[in-house]
Amino acid sequence: MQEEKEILLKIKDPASRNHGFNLLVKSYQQRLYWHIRKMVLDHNDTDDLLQEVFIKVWKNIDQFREDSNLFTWLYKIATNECLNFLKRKKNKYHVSIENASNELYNKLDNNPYISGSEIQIKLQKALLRLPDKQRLVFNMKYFDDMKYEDISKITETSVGSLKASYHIAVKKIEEYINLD
Amino acid sequence: MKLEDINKDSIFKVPENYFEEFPDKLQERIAETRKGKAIPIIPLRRIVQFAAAAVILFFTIYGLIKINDQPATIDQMLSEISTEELINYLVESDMSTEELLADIDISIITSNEDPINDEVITTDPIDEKIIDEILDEYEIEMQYL
Repeated sequence: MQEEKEILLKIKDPASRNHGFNLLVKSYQQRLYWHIRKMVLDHNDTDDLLQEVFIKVWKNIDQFREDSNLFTWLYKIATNECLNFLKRKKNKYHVSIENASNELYNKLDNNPYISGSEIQIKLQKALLRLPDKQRLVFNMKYFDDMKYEDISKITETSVGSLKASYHIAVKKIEEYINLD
Repeated sequence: MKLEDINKDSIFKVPENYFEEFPDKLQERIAETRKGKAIPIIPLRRIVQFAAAAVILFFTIYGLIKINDQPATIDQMLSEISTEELINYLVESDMSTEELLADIDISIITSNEDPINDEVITTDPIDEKIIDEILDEYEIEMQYL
């Protein structure tokens, strides 16, 4: 929190604005990168989206309310960018949801920046069968070990719904990974 | 197998020095926006995709134009021949009425798509004698109707 306040103070001062923003980027780039990457899988797509996220942050930082949590605000922007990107991908060229998922499936099999054990890849394929928002919730809870309260602020969904969503996601995934 | 049995380590890798170089790359893009330059929202590989689509579209349209330049279909050629010329041809060909009717789809003669004419036909009573005279005149047998 202290770090957040110092960064925001520097950004507010025109003399140290660039330096402050640079500190913000360095502090959050990795967390936001992995948050996006787990959703879009491809490094180049993640790189594009991460730049878009920080450009949006740069343009709107004056509107950020200091009583809010900077981390939550950044995650919210990144989450929206991710979900919009996936939606655009599905709408583009009238690609069906199944075909869009197949494209992501292929990325898991043929990508120089993805390498894992057979069961790890199978887990990622199981995740692709979930609706995007459920996959997002699962990633934040399972991989990032985030609190439901924090996920609730980012996704603007009640803690109860998130718990139910996560529970259903786990059941679906275990069913898939135990197939054949 | 349970979910907790799976190794949670990330399977995703990043290019070398990506995070070290990212802040500078971002600063460059932001500097471009401040200079008033447009941000390339569409990445280069998407531009290549659009260019490829444009080339395909061009050749498709070109192909269609070429097809239209080709000789007309039988229907188009027939539409250019006057009714009089067609009648003269049929008279000279010595074909009987039966032979001519044999190749004609009977629904073309009997169907009437115009609802107004349909109404006229059904509401206007025609004397059976007149019909017989017309049929005799044109040697049309009832089985064709």
